[in-house]
Amino acid sequence: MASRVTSQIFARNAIHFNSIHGSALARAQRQISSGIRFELPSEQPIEYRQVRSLETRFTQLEADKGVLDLTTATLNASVSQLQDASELVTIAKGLVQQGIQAFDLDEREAIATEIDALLKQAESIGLAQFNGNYLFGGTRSDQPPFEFAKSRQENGVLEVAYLGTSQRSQSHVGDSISIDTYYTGLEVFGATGRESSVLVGGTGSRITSATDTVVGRATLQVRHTGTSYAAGSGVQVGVNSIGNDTILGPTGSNQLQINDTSGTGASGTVSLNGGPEVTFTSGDTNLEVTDRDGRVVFLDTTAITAGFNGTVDITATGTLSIDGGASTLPIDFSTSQQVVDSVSGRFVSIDSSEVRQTGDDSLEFPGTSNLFQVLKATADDLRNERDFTTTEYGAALSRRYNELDNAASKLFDMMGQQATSLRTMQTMEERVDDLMLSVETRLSDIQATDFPEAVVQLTNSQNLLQYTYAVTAQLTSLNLLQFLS
Amino acid sequence: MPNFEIGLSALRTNQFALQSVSNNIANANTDGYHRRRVIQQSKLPNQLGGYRIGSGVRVARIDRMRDQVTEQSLTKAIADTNQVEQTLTIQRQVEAALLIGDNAIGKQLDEYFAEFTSLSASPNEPARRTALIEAGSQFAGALRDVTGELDNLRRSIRTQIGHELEQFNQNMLELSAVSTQISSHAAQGFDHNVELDKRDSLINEIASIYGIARNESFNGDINITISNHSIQQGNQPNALSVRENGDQLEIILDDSDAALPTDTGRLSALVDAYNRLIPEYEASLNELASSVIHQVNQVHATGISTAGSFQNLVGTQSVDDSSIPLAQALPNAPLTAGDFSVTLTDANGDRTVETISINPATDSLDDIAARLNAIPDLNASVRAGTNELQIAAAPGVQFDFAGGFDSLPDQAGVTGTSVASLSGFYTGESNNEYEVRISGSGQVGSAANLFAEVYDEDGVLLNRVNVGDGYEVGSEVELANGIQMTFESGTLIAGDSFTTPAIETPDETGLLGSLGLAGFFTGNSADTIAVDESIIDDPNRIATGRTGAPSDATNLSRFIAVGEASTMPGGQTFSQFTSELGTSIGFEINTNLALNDTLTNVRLRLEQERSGKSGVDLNEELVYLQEYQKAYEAAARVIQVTDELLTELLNII
Repeated sequence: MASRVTSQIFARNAIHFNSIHGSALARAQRQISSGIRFELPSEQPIEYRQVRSLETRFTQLEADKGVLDLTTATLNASVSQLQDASELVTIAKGLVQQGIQAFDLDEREAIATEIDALLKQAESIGLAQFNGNYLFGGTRSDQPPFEFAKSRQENGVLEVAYLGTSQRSQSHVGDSISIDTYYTGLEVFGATGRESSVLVGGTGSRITSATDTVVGRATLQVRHTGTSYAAGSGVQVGVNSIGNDTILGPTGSNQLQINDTSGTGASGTVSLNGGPEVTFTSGDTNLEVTDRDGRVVFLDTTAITAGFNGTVDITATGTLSIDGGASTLPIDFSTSQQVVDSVSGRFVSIDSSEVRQTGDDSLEFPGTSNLFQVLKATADDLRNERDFTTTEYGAALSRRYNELDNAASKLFDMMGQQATSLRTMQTMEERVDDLMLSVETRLSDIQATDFPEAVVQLTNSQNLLQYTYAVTAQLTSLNLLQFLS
Repeated sequence: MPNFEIGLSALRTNQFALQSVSNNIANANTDGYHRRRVIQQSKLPNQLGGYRIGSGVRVARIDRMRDQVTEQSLTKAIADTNQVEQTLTIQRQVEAALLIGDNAIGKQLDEYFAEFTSLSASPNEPARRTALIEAGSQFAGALRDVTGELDNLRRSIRTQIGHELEQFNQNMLELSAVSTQISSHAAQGFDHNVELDKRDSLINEIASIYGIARNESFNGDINITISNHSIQQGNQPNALSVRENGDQLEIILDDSDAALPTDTGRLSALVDAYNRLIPEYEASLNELASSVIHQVNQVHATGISTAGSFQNLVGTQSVDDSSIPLAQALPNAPLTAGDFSVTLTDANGDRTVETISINPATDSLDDIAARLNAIPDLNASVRAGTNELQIAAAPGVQFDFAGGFDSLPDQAGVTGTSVASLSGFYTGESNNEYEVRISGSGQVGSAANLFAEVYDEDGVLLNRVNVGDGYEVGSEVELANGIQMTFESGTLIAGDSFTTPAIETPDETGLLGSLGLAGFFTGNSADTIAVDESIIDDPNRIATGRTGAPSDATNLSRFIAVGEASTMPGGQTFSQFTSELGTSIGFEINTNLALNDTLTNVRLRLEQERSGKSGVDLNEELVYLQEYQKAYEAAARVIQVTDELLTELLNII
């Protein structure tokens, strides 16, 4: 400090310190009034960097929390629907058990009607929505995932078209965690996985061990196309033979026993496969002969060789079809014939080596139907629409029971996955809440005003400013003029 | 013989001193005024007999009280403080532009990327999509606002530089005039303290504008230099002017070719802000904007929106010359050599991936268009006039850049009758090419030991799938990484094979982002960034997925990853980079505040020292006033006594 002090020095000091204390006072005032220790990075650069980092984190956590909330709500809605579906299937299983034991047609019809109602409920669940999105359409959540046609497909299965995708929709929490939200209808309600095909019927057709591709169920039509007889007996095909004979089989698998009792071929007896003997005359052009199993041939006996007594080998050909006759496959009586549905292109392998009779066999492809089709098939079987015998009826319902059981397992599996996701999200949500609280606390620690400190600073600055004013007033009032007379 | 001379000299001298004191008092608060002190001197004595008696007093000179070293230091301190204060003013404006208000880019950026996370919970919710677009617009708007603010600030600084130069040159003119007056007065032996005060004031004013050095000689001559250039103080005053060298400003002294350095003074701060400070922040903002635009657009372009793939697409980024290598045509674009894949979808929904190789160092936009044009069902060209890449698909065909695989692989290598098709979603982490080789022969679905073996591009066996006995014809089996394959009914022969590309990164080159094809943002810098109009008009055009399904959020995770990626210089994320912009200006301000405090204290101390030496102390002047007044009264008494003595003598006559 210079030894010579002028009034200008007093003035400059007064202005300088007034500025310093005023500035500190204003800062303390701003801190106390706003509750924030600093607003600009220049006030606290290091803390500002921390605050920005925390603010960024908080924004991310807020977004994560929003995602978790909405995803939790979506999955809760989904799980709720799946629980309903699971209960529905459980009820259906119970009804199937009742149906197996029910002999009264009215009782069966009543049970089938209940299954119909369950199907409607299942359809409703399949089309369930949450927040404007279909829950079971995968990533295509903006349109109904299933289309239930009133008609049936050619194979007799309820027509259900899945319009969703095979990809689940996912919510993202952060850049590494994904949570499945909209599950695909296929994995929830879809087929449970192909099992061994089942054939029920009396034509002699058998299922092979090959993997079929037809889904649901189908009717195998075994039809007669022609009969021929070994030469020598003079027997010929009757007028109504083609299409009306019910025997099938390669040469020798069926036989006629002809006894020309007249010795001239004018009359005698004829039997099929050891069945009841039928009298013929040389005037019969369409003689119906039935064997013990009810199989029929129509014969023309107008040219029986005189004196013929003996057996005649029969060759009876036919066709196989699973598309209602739209396409047919000649029976070659082999162990494996691939019968194709001309509509869908799917096929079933049939062992036709033992086919001996025309007729319709029922084909089932367990594990290839979705829940809706299984329920519909269950109702159909309860109504015995395929005219099964009691045994076959019981067996069919048992298979439906198994399919429902598998569908229930699938639903449980999906519920389990969603429940696991929900549990995970609950944990994550708690963690996000904790992190948000932690970030907020840290933000508050860094950014919020330390009020006691700010008040002390305010008071200190206020005092210093007062002292500055006081000392300035005191010094500037001290003047030699006061002492000069 | 008594005379009046002695008294009269005392009377005159003290009256003179009284006037000097009065002038000091009058100028007590005049800035730059140096107090004066009248130096009195005894007049030569008269010889009277053997004695020498004094003949009175006279004014020897009037001293201008000052300390040379302090004055020099103060001039430098004034230059320094003005430079720092001006820099602080500009930095605070930059800080305000970057951070104040609701439009702070850091927060907008965070909100923007957080919206991708939020959207993933409900990708097809219109409100969420609108929120994302709004957040993107806010972010883009914030960048444009900040850039606009900085641009305005820079223009304002340019104007201020002109004003400062005008003031500087005016001061130089005045300095020249004052210097001339000083020389003239000095030559005539006149007092020229007033001019010296004015010169000191002018020098300090000049120093506040542009840092100068003053060197005073013992005799009071002063040498003023700017950098190493000596400033004339004669009839031809020096002048500063500003020269634009590209985007930079240079300060020129007179006709010199060399630019003056900018060290101290307000002008230095202004030129530094114009040349360095603001361009640096603008460059950082542009770097942020171009990176965000490029990376977001890359992800967006390689996704598929619910609006579907494209029939026609035009890039938003043009090149000046489509015939030169792209790396030269777009020098700032992050282009690299690599593969570029386009996926075409026919009317049946079957997808085919076509890949071309691009080397930006050698391939021009014309070359790339020609290469794309060679892809069946795709027409590509460079638009005349605008030089933008345009791609169109044949009728019934659409294209996208989402990669994936061939849904109907080329069957040329299959001699059997079974047709294979692919479905699913490729989940691999890199591009690959899978080859499926058939092992065994026979009917699909029934043959024994019939397998499809899957190899990657390195020949590594990834999967071996039974397609013979036990395989359900037409059913899906895993190929690899989410790709499913299906074999229709028919035969397969040992050695049959087919391949498919599996593309996770359809654009290895950065072409899509660089040319603005199917991007989220348009523009290429902070002042041009904007959300694409087509997305604003139709929020369904946001590519949230890679399949086009409304709730497909697979692309959103990639957007989120972009926000989290450490792709900015120093391994920073976008958010960290943005925060660092604010933090760095904060540190700069903080540093300059501390420097300013120091310099202000130095200046205050120097001003106090100067005031201690040169300032007017009223009390002191009052003491002098009393002193000279008493002396004046005494001199008057001496004259009165002399008069009485002479009267007494005359009475004798």
